[in-house]
Formats: sequence, structure tokens, C-alpha cells
Amino acid sequence: MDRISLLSDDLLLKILSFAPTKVSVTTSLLSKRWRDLWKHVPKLDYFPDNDTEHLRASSFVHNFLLLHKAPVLETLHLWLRNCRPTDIETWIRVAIGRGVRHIKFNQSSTSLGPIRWPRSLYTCKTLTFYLTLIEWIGYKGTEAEKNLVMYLLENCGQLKTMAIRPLNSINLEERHKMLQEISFTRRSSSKCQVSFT
Amino acid sequence: MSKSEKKIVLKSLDNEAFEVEKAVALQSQTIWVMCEDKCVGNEIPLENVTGQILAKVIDYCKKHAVVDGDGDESSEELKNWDTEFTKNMDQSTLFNMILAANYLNIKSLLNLTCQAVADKTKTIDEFHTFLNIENNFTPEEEAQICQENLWAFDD
Repeated sequence: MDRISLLSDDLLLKILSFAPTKVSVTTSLLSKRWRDLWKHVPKLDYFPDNDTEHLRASSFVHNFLLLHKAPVLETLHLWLRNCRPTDIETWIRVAIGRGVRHIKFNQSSTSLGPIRWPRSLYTCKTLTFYLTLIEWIGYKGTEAEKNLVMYLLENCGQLKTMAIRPLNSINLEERHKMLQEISFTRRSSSKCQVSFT
Repeated sequence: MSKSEKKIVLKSLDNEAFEVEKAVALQSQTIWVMCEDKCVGNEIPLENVTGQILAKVIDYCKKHAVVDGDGDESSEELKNWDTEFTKNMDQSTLFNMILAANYLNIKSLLNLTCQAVADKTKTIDEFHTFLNIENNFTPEEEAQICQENLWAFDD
């Protein structure tokens, strides 16, 4: 008997939850026991390493969400480039439907157009209830982005961290203005820390 | 009297006894519950953990109790200590640490040790070697999984 057989599925899932999703999917090839385990990891963490992986990012995220079987998708970490905004909307909507708690999102500046954040983000009870951490990388400070940040601060009662990382191209003066606008927003969670770096 | 109440004796599967501060031992939810229930005396038998592993678990708990006590003295230092702690653990020790952390219900230690396994296994070959898993697929089954998960695999 191999030693890992002593570990319960729960513990194997715990180990897999520390691996990037592309690694956890490859474990389907290990043995019969591992074949479908990755589908129960409550996390999608995809960061492409090269151009080829960037090109298939949409297909990766689509397939993962279709096959994923955990009752809750706790964490959604996506590093994207050139993904269609409508696709991203769909993924976020699906994640919200599965009770996502952590969203970390990086869409690089070469994206094809502004993302319209899904309406469900504004109406979804589970999101505003469960979300504890938001990290927004590549923040541009558009009206839509600002409204969303304010909405989340005003409504997410459990939020602990709102980390905003603006695009490098945004100058100091603009950053200062963005920070001011955000920091005056009333926060529904008294424990919420806002960082802007 | 008061001094001895602060101490607690943990006894391993192979009958090794460790006397530790209560504050150190109570990082284990399992031990905490046992003490709360007063279902044990001053000596707690831990039937699932060997002395060798228990000694390491106690090292971890001591380190974390001290630093937590000093406020946020240096979370950076603690992080480095954690990394060093698991860095050179062999596969068998690491698995036994996971089992012990799970049994003793020490959440941060369980996270640390599971993370360490994930860090040591990045490719399918590393998984096979490090986790010592035997491939029990037929070539046909393996081909089918490759086909199903083609979207995720490197060419």
C-alpha cells in the first residue's frame, strides 16, 4: 500500500488546494483514486506561464467550470490576457452562483474591451455575504470599476481585505484621487482594510 | 501547585512522555476539548502519534506559542521558521505530520504541511515519486483521461 493511501480524500483535497489548478488537473492521471479528485477542489487558480497557455486560458476556465463538482467554489484567482469580456462575465457569474469567497483578478491592459461586471454581482446575496477578500490587479479607475468597488465596500459585511493595485501607467496624482474617492465610501464591514498600492 | 497546573504531559503511541506548557499544547483543538471535558487527568494519551512525530509537533507549537505571545513580533521570522521546519522533511515524516496535525486538529500546522507537499510536487512524475503512487490505469483508460482533459494538459 502506498503511504498516501493513509490520507483521506479530504486531506488529499487539502493538499491539492495548495496547488495551481493546472497541476491539480494533471493528478487525474495518477491512479483511479485520483482520477476525479481535482473536480472537488474548491478553488480555481489559473495563471498562464507562457503565450500558449494564455491562448488557451478561455478554454481552460470554461472546461474547469463545466466539470467542477465541489458544492462551493471558494476561491477564484485568474490571471488573464486577451480574454473576451463576455466570457469573463460568465465565469464570474458562475463563481458567484457557487458561493465564491475570494476573488483575485488580473486582466492585463491589452484586454479587448472593458469588462461589464455582471448584474448578479450587484444583487447576489451569497457574494455580499461570503466574500472576505478582493484583490484587484490592473485597476484603471473607470466609472464602472469605481462603482463596483464602492458597491462591494458598502455591501460586503464580512469583507476583510480590499486590495487595489492600479495599473503602472496611472500617475501619482490620479492614484491619490482614486484613493480619496474610495476611502470616503462607507464600509459595511468594520474589519475591512483597504489598501491601494 | 499552580505551576504544575500549567504543565501537561502528552504521551505518544510508543509511550514517550512529553511535559509541555498548557498554552503550547492547547493549540491543538483536540487536546483543548479533552481538557475542557476534564475527561483526562494531567496526562493525555495520544494514540495516533509516535514520539518522533509528536516531538516535531511540539517544536512547532512551542515556536508558535512564543511568537504569538509576543504580539506581532515578527511574522516574517515565523514564516521563515515554518519554511525551514518543513524544508528538509522526508516524505514519510511529512505524511505523518499531516496525519498528526489532522488528528490533533492544529489548523495552521495542517495547512503548512499540506502546502509543503504541494510545493514538492509540481509534475506528474514528482507526484508518482514523492507520493509513491502506483498507476493502476490500463493504457486505454489513461488515453481516455488524456482525451477528456486535453484542455488542461501540455502537448
